[in-house]
Amino acid sequence: MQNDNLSDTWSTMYRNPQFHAVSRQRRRVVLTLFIVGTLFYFSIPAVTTFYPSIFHARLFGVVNIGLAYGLLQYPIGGLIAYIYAINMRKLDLEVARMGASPQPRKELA
Amino acid sequence: MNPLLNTKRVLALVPALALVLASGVACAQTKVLVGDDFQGMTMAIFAIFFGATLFITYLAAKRNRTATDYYTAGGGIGPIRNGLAIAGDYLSAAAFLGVSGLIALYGYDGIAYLIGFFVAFIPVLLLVAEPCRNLGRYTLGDVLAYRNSFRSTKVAAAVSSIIVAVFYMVPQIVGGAVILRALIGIPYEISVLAVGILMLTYVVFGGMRATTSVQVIKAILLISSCFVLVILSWAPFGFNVSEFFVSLTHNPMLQSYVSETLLKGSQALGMQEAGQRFLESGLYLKNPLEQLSLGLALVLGTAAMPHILMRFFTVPDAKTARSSVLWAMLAIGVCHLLIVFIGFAAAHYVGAKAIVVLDKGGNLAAPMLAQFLGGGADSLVGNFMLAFVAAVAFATIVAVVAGLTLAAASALAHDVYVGAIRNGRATEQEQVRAARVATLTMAVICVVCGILAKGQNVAHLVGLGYAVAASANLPALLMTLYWKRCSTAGVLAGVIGGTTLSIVLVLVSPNMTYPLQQKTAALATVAALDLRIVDAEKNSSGVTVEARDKLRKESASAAAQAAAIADDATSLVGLKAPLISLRNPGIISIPVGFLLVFIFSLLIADKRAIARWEELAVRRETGIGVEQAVAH
Repeated sequence: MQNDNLSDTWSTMYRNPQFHAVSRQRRRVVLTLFIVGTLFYFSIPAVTTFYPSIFHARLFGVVNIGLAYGLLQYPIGGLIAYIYAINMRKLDLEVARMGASPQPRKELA
Repeated sequence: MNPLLNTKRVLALVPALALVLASGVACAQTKVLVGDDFQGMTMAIFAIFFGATLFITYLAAKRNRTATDYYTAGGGIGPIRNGLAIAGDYLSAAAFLGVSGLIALYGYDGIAYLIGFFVAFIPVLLLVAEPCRNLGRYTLGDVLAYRNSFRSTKVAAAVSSIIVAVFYMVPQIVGGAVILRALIGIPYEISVLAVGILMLTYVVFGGMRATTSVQVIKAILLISSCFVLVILSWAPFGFNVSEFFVSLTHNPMLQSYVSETLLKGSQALGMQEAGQRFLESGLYLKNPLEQLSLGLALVLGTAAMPHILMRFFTVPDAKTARSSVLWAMLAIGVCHLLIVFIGFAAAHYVGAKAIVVLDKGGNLAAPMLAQFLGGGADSLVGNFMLAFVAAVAFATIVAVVAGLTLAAASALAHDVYVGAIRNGRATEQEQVRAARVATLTMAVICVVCGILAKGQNVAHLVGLGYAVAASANLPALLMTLYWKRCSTAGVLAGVIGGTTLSIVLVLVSPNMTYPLQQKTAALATVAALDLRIVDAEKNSSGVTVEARDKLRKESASAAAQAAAIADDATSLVGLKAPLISLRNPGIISIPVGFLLVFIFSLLIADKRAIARWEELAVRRETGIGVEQAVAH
């Protein structure tokens, strides 16, 4: 159970404008990347259902756009993860500057 | 616990397991892929694999003291190790054997199916990994109970986690047992028992430490084996991928398979076009709505799979949780790309027609490719590679099942027993004992379910497991984490409603067996065969007597099958035909799961949930107060 002092501490931190800025920035990055990733993934069934001929066009040799686009999901997924990691590293520094070390707090044994 | 006692117990299981497997081979009667001359070598490879993992279990068992050791390996696992363990936890037999087989049989559509399993890690990384580390201790129930009613939330989360784990586990065990029987002739029941004993040994004695080591080793072995297979497949083409695909689409064996077996002559394609068709969509995934539903379940369900979530409690902080997902995505992505090329290589070198002779679902494509690339069925190297890939496949199944069992056992022991029944008051010893008893219970459940499921088509249970996770666990988890007004009533409605709806939708779906449909299909077969028999009798010069006799036998067999089904026979839930056409319920049950949490949270507010929101939000974002990992 939280005592009143601790509860006040959470409240004070929650109302800290810096905390809100960090929280907003994180939400912006997460939502943008989530939407991009989801659209990119579901574009495959969308194209194969409505415009399958786009995927049939050859890119090089016998390799078609569909095959290349499908496999492109992997580097794109990697890129999304990379962009997220870079942004979070910046936010980790912001959190540290707020005086709230994100390092784990020692617990009593 | 006395380490010596552990040594004796763990080592005593080695001869027991060897005896079980050896007796299995001794009574094997079915036709198998590994030749008689190479059975001994195969068993030796299996023995070395599992001897090594049992030794690791022994080492881990010496260090297990507390419940934290047991559930989270002390919480001190590093990012690379945890990333590889996530990959080992996640890369199932369905991905390695199942998808390589799908690609070998259906080409492009197999890739479209596989991608979902990778993209699923984007929501894991963005939405759940770090908050779960910051707020939970051992289970999903911990995170949900942070601001919601302690006992009821824990019980609901535990029940749905156990359901997801069992749904996901049964097809792994059944698939593994079927494959082992086809590869080396171990009878089904013995194989299920071997998976159960091995997994139980790892988890009961070694807890999360041993499970993690087994998963890491399995991930490394799986990726290495896939890498070797791809290198050997590409070497004849000078590692020119384009050349490989040209050769694949020009392969007469593949061309005739696509045009005759897959398209059944329905499209007027030239041989070259038929080969090219293999690299296009529509040979397997034919229903877009079904594809969307399964895709949603895969992409969203992974983020709420209990065995994946549990891995984030084994690291010290959110940064490490984040890094471990990055490593996991790298390992899973690389493995998936290798699996894609293994599938195409199997289609090119072994051929779909040869693959379906041994297994209709194509699950033996990768082992058959290994045997071919090593020199064929009569060669020592070919059989060595086959045995190695078979052992890796078996290790894959055991590692995934171990992860699921540990997750389900933690839900049962930590959430239900220690949380709901003892209200969080239990000594370390009691907690560890409860964890071990829960693990044993789950192992018995999984072996019994595995044996009962013999001969059943349980592949759709994988999709159902993901659908329950996405419809029940995920809405409750995300809304607890990110929506201030989320309440206990909302969470309970989401978890119970999402789970029930997913299961009910599957019970009334085409996944179930509908005897009347089978009867109609059998009667249609009889009619079609009778027409062919009449034609054959008219044109007797073109058809041999044997061929006509064969047609008559097939017709009689189909007629007998139709006659055996009563006119009023119904499915398991009393239906004559499915109520919905969807096989995977995700597209209905996932939005309903979210709606239930939303509506019930608005209807029945929860003061405690609101009061703890600020604390949850600060801890979620900053990681303050995260449980201190035990320094090792």
